[in-house]
Amino acid sequence: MIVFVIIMYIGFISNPMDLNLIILGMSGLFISVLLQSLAAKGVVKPEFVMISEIKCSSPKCDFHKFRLFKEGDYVYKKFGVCEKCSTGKMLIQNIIQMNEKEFKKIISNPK
Amino acid sequence: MTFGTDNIWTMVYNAIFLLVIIIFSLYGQKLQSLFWLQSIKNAVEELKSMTLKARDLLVEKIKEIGKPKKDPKAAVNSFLEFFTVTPVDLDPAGVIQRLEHVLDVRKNRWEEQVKQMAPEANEVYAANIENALEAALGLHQIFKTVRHYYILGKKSKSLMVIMQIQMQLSLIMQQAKAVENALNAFIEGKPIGDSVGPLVVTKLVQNYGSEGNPVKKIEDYTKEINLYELNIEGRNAFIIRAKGPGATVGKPGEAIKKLLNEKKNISRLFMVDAGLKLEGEKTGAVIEGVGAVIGGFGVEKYKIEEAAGVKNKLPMDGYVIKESIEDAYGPMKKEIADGADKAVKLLIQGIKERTLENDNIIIAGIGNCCGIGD
Repeated sequence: MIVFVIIMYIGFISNPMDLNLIILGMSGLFISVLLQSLAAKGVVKPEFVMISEIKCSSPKCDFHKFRLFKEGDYVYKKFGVCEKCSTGKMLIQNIIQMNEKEFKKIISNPK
Repeated sequence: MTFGTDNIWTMVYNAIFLLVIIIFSLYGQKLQSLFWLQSIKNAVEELKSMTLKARDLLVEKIKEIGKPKKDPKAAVNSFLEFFTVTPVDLDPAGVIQRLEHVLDVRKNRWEEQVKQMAPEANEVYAANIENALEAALGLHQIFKTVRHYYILGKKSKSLMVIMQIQMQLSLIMQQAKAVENALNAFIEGKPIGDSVGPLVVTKLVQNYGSEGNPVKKIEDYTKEINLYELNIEGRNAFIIRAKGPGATVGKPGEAIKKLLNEKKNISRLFMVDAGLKLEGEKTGAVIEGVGAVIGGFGVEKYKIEEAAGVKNKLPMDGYVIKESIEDAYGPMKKEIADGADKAVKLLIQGIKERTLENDNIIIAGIGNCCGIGD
């Protein structure tokens, strides 16, 4: 794009003005803008996932994990028995939307 | 200048150049309106596909959850055209009561319709379907409005009509996307950005409630509103929020009014809600202010101002968690959930600073309770 702007500029500053260069610059500029706008349509947007943050309802247990949201999940839902201490119940602490990459990072390093 | 030349290419360029100038000076506006019409057409196509997709998704969900005897598609289709006539405001006296009546009738009608379409759906799913139906209706209305202006612009060839709708397209599409996100969230029962108000007060109940500080819960204190009574920092707190985890909003104004009538010695009212941010503001930022922090048609706000402000001269503190319109309707983002934690801290600080021990206080979490249990 910049190349065509320079060509146009040279066309303008030439003495006498070089219409060939100006038209070439203009046409090139038009085509490059068109191509750029078409290319922008193919931009991949980040994918989001919904995740449930689960903790143990027992204050003594530090169990903590993230998993993908399942239908029927809601914040402060208690279910099953804690996978770690087996005394407290599993508690959904938060349900949040997250970037897929961020989620993968959390899954690989939960702390 | 190279006008006088024998070079064939220069002559071709010159001719093209002149032709372009002539075309643009004579038909510039026409070409511009054609480009604009094409972009409106693309938006109409996209909105149409969003509406159809939303409708099909809703029908599938109703079939799955509600187990209706006949296909709900026709009922959903006809309900997408549902309208509500707001009361006349030429004579403003009593307009709030008249508006409330219309909204009540509307709400009852929606509930009946959902019951008919999805007879097997439980309370939570029925509330979610009702909200999803409302979102589908919103999407359908956006589609119809844009299509109307597209056809009108095409028919009248009026640059004014075409330009007006084209220049608002990005905002309209943003809103449509937000409504589409809301519909998906309601269908699956996910918390949305607007659920942050109830989330904050639920966090308070969860953080302070214990065996030593039991929570006294009154379910359906007013329709679709729960009341929790517990001790927070030595204060007797009455916490109000809509009944979750279904997508309900309830009438918090009605609950506050009832509470103020029952308990005469309330010293302060705290309200928490999601608020629209301006571009450039941070999502999840928490700000403080005064007044009745509640959106909607204004009926509930009026009740709170009347009951708490005019009758009881009660100081009203508001906490707003900032978010965009897409965030408010879409699934709850991490920044907003983090904002809820910040709001809890600020709320406790406010309670400590502006009330005394043994005071009776009301804390209301305003918003849609979709995906927020207790």
